[in-house]
Amino acid sequence: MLDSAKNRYRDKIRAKHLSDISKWENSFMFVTEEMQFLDKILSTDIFESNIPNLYERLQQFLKNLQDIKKEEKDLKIEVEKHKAKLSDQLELNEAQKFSAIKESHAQLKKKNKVFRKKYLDLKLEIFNFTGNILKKSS
Amino acid sequence: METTGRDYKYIEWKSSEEMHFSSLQWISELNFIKDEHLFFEDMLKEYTLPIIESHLFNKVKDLIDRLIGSKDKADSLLKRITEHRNGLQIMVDGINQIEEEKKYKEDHRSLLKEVMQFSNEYNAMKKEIFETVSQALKQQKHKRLLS
Repeated sequence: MLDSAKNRYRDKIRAKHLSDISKWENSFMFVTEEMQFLDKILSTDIFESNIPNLYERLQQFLKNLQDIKKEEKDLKIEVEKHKAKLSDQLELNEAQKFSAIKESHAQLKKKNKVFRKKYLDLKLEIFNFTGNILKKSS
Repeated sequence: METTGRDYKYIEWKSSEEMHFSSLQWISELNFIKDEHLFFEDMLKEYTLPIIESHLFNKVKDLIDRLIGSKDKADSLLKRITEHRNGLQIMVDGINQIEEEKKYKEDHRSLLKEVMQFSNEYNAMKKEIFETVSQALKQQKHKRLLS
């Protein structure tokens, strides 16, 4: 490939990667807020009290939420490091390093997908359980 | 839903497989949103006592109305995306139908814009729900401590 074609190709890939990162960052921001909300409702006395093992179930959800918060934090750090590498134009001029960045981007993409699926499953489980046991107003 | 303004610049280059995958992803995410709608509606409708007491009644009423509107919009989008996905045949049947194929891509672009707009509005509404319910819970806790 000619140098100019190579550079165009790298610029295109770089733009696509930055677009992915921006999506991930937006998603992290929203998920963090949502997890705070879930934490709040699970820790507040808003559920019918006559539900068997209510306390244990809520504690388990809170623990799962803590675990996934930790996962999100670690993933955010990885994304930040990756973004820093990607923003470094000098590194992009070296074919080997560029290929390593592409590889690490693909891995992060997979990790984000797995994290998102895991988080959505947990959220749905919390909604399905708590949605039916909210204290009624009458 | 993971969509940004940048996406639809790429639409001309989207392959049939990619459009099929996008449609499936939208359907899955809209179905998930429908489950969330149920939870938030229950939460706002059923758990109303502390909300009424916390003088957030009008805000909650507005949120319930918007939730209902959002549910209708999600249903309508789901129906249209499912029809769109079923119409993908036109792109892969090997017959050259330039006008129909162009229209299919235009429909895809238009759906993408609508899904993005829906997603942004839905997320903004969810943030308002979080804030309102959190405020109600805080006031309820405060009241309990005083009594």
